[in-house]
Amino acid sequence: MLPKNNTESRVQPTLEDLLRLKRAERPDAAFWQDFERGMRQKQLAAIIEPRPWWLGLALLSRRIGPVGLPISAGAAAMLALVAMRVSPAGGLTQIVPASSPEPVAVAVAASPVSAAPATQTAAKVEVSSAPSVVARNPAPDVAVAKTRPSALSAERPAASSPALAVATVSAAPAKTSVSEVKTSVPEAARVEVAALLGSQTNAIEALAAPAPVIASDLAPSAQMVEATPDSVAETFAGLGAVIQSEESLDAAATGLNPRQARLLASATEVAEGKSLAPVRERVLHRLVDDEARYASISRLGVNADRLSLKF
Amino acid sequence: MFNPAKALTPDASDVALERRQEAGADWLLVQRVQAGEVECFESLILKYRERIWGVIYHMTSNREDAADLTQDTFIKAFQSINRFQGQSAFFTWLYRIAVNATLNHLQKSKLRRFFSLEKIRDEEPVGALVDQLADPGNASDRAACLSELQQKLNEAMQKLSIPHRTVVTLFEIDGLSHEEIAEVVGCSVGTVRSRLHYAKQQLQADLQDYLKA
Repeated sequence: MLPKNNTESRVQPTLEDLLRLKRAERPDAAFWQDFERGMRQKQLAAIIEPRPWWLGLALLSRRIGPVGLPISAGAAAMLALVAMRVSPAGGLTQIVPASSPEPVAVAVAASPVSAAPATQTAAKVEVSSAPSVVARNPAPDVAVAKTRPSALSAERPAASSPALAVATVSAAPAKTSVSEVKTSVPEAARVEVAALLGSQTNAIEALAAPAPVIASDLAPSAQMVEATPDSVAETFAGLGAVIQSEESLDAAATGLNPRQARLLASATEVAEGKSLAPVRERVLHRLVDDEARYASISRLGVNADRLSLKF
Repeated sequence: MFNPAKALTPDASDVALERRQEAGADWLLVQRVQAGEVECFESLILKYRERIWGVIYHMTSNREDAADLTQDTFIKAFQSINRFQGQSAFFTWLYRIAVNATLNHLQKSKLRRFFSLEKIRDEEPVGALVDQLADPGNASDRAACLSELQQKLNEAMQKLSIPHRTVVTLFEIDGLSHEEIAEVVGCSVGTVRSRLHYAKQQLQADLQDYLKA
């Protein structure tokens, strides 16, 4: 349609000129009247229309922006604290508040030592936070464990004792009392067990505590102990030798995490008759550290949407 | 000889001065709106509605869509006027809202595009331009020339990608500077220049029949 033949004699427009031609595309006044009407309607609709839920969140986040950073830092610190409770091997240790009335046995699943040939009975000693060491010998089963009271039967008076030392006996019936067990056990072995249990509980005292039920439980075992005092003495005295002769001890230690391996090594020292004081101190320190950690956890509190931090 | 390019192009320094004065006056009005004088926003609407509508219209080539999006732009601006801190000019802030709304609309309606063009007003600069292309003595030829030119222009604009069309619209039609466009679009000045250069090349290829060699 454009007369191209005539345009050769005239000045041709540039691209900018053509584009500016579009500025002239403007609506008339009637269009703006409709525009005004539509604008009023939309304004009213915008006033009536409820705000979307995410808009409130966006405004809130904008307002609490300066405060949000410390909250995030606190949350990260709390997460880090919780993560500290996760053992390196991936397992979870049990978190107990500091106000818990009873200590809890932290089960460390070390490979039990079993060097001696299986005989009629075995003595099993479990120490809190230490690998279990099981030595088999002709003595009856005597397990000293740090455990919750709920693990005991309700009728046992020992359940109300403050901490540790419960003896479970499974052997033939007998009539010997606890005191007899105490006297029948060699002195060196009793001292060793007491040291293993640390200062929190005197195992020997716990064994000697007047508890008829415990006495009845211990009676069969005590009879056997009395019957074979030499074998019991051999059990405790030869514990180190048993552990030393266990060829899989080191191999088992290599499969553990460093903490467990360290504890296993310390248990080996105890079994070999080396000084028990450092071990006891280490265990005590660890317990104190744990309590401090639990106390620090108790300073954090989460209530609904609030996070409280006590200083 | 009459040069339509000069008639259509005001001096750049005058434009910059005018923009600064506008920005100062707008900021005063915005502060009053923020203080609770809602009726002051009406004057802002009256001041900018044609320009905002023009930007949206040249991007969409649909007058009804442009009207709807212009209304939405002003409503959004009013709802968030308290967040405007005066760090930029009010009109660039308003343009940014309009451009974003238009880009969202174009993205949503990529497959259903309808042109609804406004009539070109045959004013003096436009008439001079059309005179260069059509026979001045023939009125019917003149009208047909104008209509054909408008159609070709819009087709060429719609062939551009959305970012390139946005830059061409803001620079060539609305007269914003490179810096202002960069602020509105949210990219660097270099990107604006690059897009403008590429878009002009493409438009020249499409409109070569009407342009001088």
